[in-house]
Amino acid sequence: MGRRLCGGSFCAHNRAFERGGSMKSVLGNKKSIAVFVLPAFIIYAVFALFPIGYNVYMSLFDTNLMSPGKFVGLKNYISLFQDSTFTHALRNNILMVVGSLIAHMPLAMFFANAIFKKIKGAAFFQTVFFLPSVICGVAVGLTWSFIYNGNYGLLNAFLKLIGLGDLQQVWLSNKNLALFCIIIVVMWQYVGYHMIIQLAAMRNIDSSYYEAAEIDGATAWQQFKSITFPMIKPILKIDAVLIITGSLKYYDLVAVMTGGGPNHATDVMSTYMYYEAFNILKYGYACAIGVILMLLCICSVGLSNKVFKSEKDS
Amino acid sequence: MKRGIAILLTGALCLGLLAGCGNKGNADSSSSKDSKEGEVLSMMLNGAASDAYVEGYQKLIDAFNESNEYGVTIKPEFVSNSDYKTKLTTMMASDSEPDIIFTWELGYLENFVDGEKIENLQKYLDEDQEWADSFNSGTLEQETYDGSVYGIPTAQCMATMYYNKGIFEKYGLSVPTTYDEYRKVCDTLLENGVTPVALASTADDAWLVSQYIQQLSDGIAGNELFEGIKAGTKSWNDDAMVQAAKLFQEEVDAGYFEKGFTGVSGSEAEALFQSGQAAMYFNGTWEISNLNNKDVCQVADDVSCFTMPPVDKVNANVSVGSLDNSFAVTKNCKNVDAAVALLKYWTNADNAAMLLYDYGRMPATKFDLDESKLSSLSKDAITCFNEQTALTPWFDRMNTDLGNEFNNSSIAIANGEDPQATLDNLQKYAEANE
Repeated sequence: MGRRLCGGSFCAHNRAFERGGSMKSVLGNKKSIAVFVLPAFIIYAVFALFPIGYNVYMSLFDTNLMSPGKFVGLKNYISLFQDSTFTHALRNNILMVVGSLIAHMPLAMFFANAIFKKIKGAAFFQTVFFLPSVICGVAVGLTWSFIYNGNYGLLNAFLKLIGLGDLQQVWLSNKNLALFCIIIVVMWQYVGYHMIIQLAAMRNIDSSYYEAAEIDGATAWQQFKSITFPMIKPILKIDAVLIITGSLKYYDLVAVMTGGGPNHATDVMSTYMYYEAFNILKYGYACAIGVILMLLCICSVGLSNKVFKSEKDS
Repeated sequence: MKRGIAILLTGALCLGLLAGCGNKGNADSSSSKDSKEGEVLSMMLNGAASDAYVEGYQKLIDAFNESNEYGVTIKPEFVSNSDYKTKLTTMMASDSEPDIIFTWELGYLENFVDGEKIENLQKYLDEDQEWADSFNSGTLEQETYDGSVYGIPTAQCMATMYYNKGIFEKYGLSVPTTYDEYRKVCDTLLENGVTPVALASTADDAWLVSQYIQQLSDGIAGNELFEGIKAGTKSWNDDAMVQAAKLFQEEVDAGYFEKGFTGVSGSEAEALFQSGQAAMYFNGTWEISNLNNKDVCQVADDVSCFTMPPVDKVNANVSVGSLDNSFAVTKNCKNVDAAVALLKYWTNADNAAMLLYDYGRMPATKFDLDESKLSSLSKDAITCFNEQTALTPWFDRMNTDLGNEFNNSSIAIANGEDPQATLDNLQKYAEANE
């Protein structure tokens, strides 16, 4: 019925088309594919591709968006790397990535594995661990600001209670400690989210592997190392990308808890970008920061692919 | 059954969506006269619902809407101080700014004048000499760029040290006239377990610390330091400024400010003073209406103010201060004549009187004072104000970029950073961004 293309691998494909009549006319026709993809693509182009392109374009200018901008080429990027505030913000972001990776990979995996092995109260823990990630970031930031408050915060009161009153301080105003205080909140908020992702991956593993391992006398750790971990590697790859890009882009907690202060000590790239654009009116400079942020996120995808390469991919 | 629950929950979520849509219109404008024939001019002002003077401004605008000869209706929107800069900047960048805007003077307005967003009002002042002459000397100059006036000030202000008369009497303290006396007053209060000065220093309220340091620097080097920094002939790490920062740190270490003040926000610090837990509070005269208001300020009857005494007697009565509540007309405005009429109305003698007597706003125009109508705090503030020989505007008004960084540096100093190193960094930054 349909046209006979040349033999080989095409044949089986074509025969499937012949069996499902109308599907052939849709899926086989490149124009139809384009038509169906077009609406979503237009929205994507308008709200994502075009702004990104314009952002890259604006980063080559020195502009406050009111007067015509001055073309400065790559000067913004060069200034950025000589700007100690930016390098400090970059360092803060990297610390945040490291902190998030520690909490959201091994720790989340530990919890996921425990729940997977159906310890007592697994369902309860699953819900409780996941709850913080559904609370809005600003609310989390405000709550923890109160916990860290110097005068009436929970943390200081607790320290006093257990006799460590000397350690009390105004946590979020300490330029050395404030960032770590924020990182702890990030770790707490999303550990459940990544735990759920990994748990779902673990549940997809065929239980016959575990039964075979039991028969062979493998310990729990051996089972994890040889069965669970390798089989969830593809998910871990995606998870790692989520963690790294999320930490690089982080804005709401930092903005609410310290505003990037004191004196830029807890500034991350996104809050510094906001400061440069809206307080100092240097939009071109802020766009350059945005471009660098985007490039770093893209690199993290490549990095994650490399680290989590499994046999399936090659 | 399960499907029914799912449909019910989905429906409830959708209702939540609709709830958000409905109320948008009522949030900003409280003027109900939209049905009037004439055109509408949009106006954005600085003020939170908790600021007492917002009521006065609303009354003034309503009166203008009823009586103006152009038949225009002004539609005001009040935006809180911490959000104002972001909101206006975004609107300016997207060309959607309102017709009349609140603005700060000097460098702040200059950004927008250079961006060709603001109407030149010089010709209106030239035509109405009486109006032009009614302004106090030194006011219009701060909003003049290239020989033309772009902004109209409606008030003046200075930073003053508010104090609680009751607490002072209780410990037998009198208003200090020299810096050493000021330190002694603080020490006495400390010995008696009272917080001497309420201060805030979170990132958004950084200017509260920098105005304190600036006031100290005014006392050390007078007006010349500010003018020098503004003109670029003096540096941010000038010895006088470093000395001011060091003195401030001494005060911090002596414990003059409330415990944990580095994490306290502006409103919390003010609440400390208003509830009588702190004896003194350093802020601008715009706070008078809040401090006079018994609903908000429990110690309203006991509040008075004095000028912070200078470190060096020769620089007496040089304080941080400037214009307040200036307005500019943007190029989006289709009826500039009507907008200017509003500004003339705002600064006329009757309204200046109303704003002063009822809301403590010191006028920018020449004015015959009827002392009997002033609250005692207003009287004290005006006395202080009239004694000043020079006013140095806040640094973040002088220059947006460097002023903001000075605020940040002040926070660092408040947190214990070395003043010399911090100010050296600031100077390096200023030179790099010439």
